[in-house]
Amino acid sequence: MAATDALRLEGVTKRFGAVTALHEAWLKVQDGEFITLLGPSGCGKTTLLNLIAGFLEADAGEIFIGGKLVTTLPVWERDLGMVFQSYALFPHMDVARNVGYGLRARGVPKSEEASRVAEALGLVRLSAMADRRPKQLSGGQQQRVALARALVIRPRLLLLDEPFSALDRNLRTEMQLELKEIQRRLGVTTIFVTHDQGEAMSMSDRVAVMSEGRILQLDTPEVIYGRPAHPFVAGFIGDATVLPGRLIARDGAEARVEAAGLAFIVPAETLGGAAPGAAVSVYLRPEDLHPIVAGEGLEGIVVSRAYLGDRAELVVECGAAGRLMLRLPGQAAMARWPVGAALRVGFDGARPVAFPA
Amino acid sequence: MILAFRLLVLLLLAFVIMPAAVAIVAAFEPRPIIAFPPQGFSWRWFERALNYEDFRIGFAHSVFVAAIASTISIVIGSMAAYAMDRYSFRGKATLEALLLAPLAIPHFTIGLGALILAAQIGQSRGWPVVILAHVVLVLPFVLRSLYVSLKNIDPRLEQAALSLGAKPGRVIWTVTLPALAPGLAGGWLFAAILSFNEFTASLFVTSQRTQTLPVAMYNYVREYADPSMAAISALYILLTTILLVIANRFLGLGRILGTEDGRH
Repeated sequence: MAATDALRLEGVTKRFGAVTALHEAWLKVQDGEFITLLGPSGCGKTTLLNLIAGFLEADAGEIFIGGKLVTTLPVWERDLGMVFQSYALFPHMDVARNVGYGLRARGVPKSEEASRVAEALGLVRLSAMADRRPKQLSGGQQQRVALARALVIRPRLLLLDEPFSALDRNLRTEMQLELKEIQRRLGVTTIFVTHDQGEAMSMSDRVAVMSEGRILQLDTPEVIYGRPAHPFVAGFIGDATVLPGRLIARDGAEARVEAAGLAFIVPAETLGGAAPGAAVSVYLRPEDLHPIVAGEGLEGIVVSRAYLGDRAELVVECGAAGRLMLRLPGQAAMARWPVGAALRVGFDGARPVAFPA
Repeated sequence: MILAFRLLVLLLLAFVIMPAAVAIVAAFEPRPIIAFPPQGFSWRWFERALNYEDFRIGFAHSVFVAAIASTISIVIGSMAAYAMDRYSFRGKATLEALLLAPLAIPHFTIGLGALILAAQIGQSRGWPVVILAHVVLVLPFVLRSLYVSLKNIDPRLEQAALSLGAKPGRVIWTVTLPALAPGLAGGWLFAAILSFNEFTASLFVTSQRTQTLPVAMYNYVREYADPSMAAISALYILLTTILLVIANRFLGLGRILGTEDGRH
């Protein structure tokens, strides 16, 4: 018998009036996995999280947590830990009372509550703040209290709803690392919702990219970035230069396409039923492109550049191929290619993907 | 230009405050006539106002009625506000309009109505009818205050409590009500002040046995014309001001009156 999934969704659908917020979501999450629901606002990721939490009721489909059917179970019986963007700490309780809330709701004895709260606060490095009120803490500290409050009940699932988007950038990175470490140490199955692809890529075991109420692709960050299964995924994750092209030939798992007078090998699986000669869109990553001195490539002129410290992004106008984006080491790019400079773009080692146009 | 505006505002303020100020100053008149400006300085009318039997009893009655009526209003108001905030039901808009309506209904209409109603059930001019009239009068204010306070509670607080395993009843007691406490306290105090000051409806529904302070004052002024009226007015203003300052501490008056809807 297969191991029980920590979370399983079977065709979960949610409609708000005439709008379908979620179309038949299918999902299997293993014990201890860190899954991110990633997508722009309105893509259905928060709806999906609220369905898992039980704040919304599904119109169709079933939800299983730890093998147990919970579709119609109320929120308070689902055994969850949830962390919100707004922290949602109880303002009239000190930190220790906040963290102990779920234990008291479960009727855990006082002595055990005290020791488990102390342990949870130690986990998020806030032992010294137990007597403080939420208002006396910084945003990062408040979010760590919220995390401790969610973890202290040893939930079957940890749900995180854009927990870091209210924090400034440096603090956010720090909190991401801390959360990831705690999650790995405790092995708690985690569903994380964000619209920030960097956050999703750096923390997750697998990412579910969502758009318009559908999960378009669910896979590891490497596959999501390197082998996007859907044009939306290719465009949403990372930067891409899109060239119009033509399918030349299919050869098993691979296919040859032509774009801007150049030939590329792409995976065949994303081409659907496209036949040779069909129009395709070829998605190139900035790292697929580099400046070359000679050889096969495209001549272009640098039309803009952005210096980002460790790297620089150059936009190169290449005649009929249009504008290509290159990402280069910062110092070298600034010294060698000012705006207006000529640059020859090469595609050696490029691993583009193509979709039917 | 700015100077002119300032002057205008000052004049306006003076105009609004003037009647009260004149009454307060007149309270210090030593002679048994109400005159302005007073011909001397004396505390004797304050003494008389504080010792006058009808005023003492009326004050006690007013405090009693205000306390009971605002407590009842808070209980009814908080439940109604919760229902209106959290649930959508048929006739919600109508209920909202209805509950806020007495703002536009004259107090004497409510007093008269309560009186007729009480007479119908043989309860003429007892405490219940006085309290009922006051509840009807202050409820809209309480309701509005609590409604706004509820709207300002982050719904995520309750969701967080539910997700932590607390049943809805427990969430209300441990999260919603504590978060609502300032609104409840402020609303209660404001209701008490309104009830304490209420005269028109009270005139209809009170009897000699149940008369509140404003009614006692009215009865006094029909018989006497000495400055104890002015003295008690001054005391009234003092007390109300103290209560308002306390109410304002709990939460801005703007929120109670529904003119502003900011957080905290």
